[in-house]
Amino acid sequence: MTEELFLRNVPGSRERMSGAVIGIAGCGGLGSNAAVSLIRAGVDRLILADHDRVEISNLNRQAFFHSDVGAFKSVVLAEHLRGINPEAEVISHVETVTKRNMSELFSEADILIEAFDRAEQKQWLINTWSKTFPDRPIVSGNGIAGIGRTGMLRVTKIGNIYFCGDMTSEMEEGLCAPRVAIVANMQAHVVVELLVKGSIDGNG
Amino acid sequence: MTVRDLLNRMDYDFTLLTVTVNGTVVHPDDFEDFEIPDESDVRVIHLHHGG
Repeated sequence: MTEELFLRNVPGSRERMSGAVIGIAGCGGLGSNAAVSLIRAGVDRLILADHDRVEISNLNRQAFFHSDVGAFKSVVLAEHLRGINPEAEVISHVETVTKRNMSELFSEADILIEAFDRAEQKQWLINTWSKTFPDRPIVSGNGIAGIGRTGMLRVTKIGNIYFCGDMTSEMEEGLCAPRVAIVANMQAHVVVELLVKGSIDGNG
Repeated sequence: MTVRDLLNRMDYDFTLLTVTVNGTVVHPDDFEDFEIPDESDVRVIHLHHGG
């Protein structure tokens, strides 16, 4: 069944990603959408961490359904991911990711996707990950709000940090599902590029 | 010149920044003491809410 699932994949890509472990810190608009794309692309080992439950207001941009409301995001997202690829290994942690537990939660992750909501969380996660695992990439979402300005969404590589987004928009502008998903998929695509090619093309 | 000196000179007073020097992250606790070598590639990233 799995072979048929990935029949239309870029030839050879799935083999290059096999065995890689991708961590996703935060299962909201960025994390949930990135996770879905990664599973569809052929990543088969994911570690998810989020302490939140699904709320109705999440449904305008996050990869959840009405039937998920009230459930823990990391748990129900893992179920959805296995619904796409039943053979995928998806570990879900219902926990707040902190400086103390980050290295333990994501010790096996080869690459981490930063999908937090608050800028202060993004700051400490980037700092702590870069110090703890300096050779492992972290892919951060930064600037996802509003409508339009699609050309401003880009990937910025600095060392082993990959920023995806417009780097300027603030949440007060509101969140639009297509734009949030573009950034989430940029993050997922960076992960795929790193696994399959070892680097990303250009710099966004 | 330290990282803090550079941020002050550039009037970068926002606190939620990621600073890298030659591709390596400098922790905010080290901004006051980290001396930036000559000819360094310094990046200052303003982090935004949303995820």
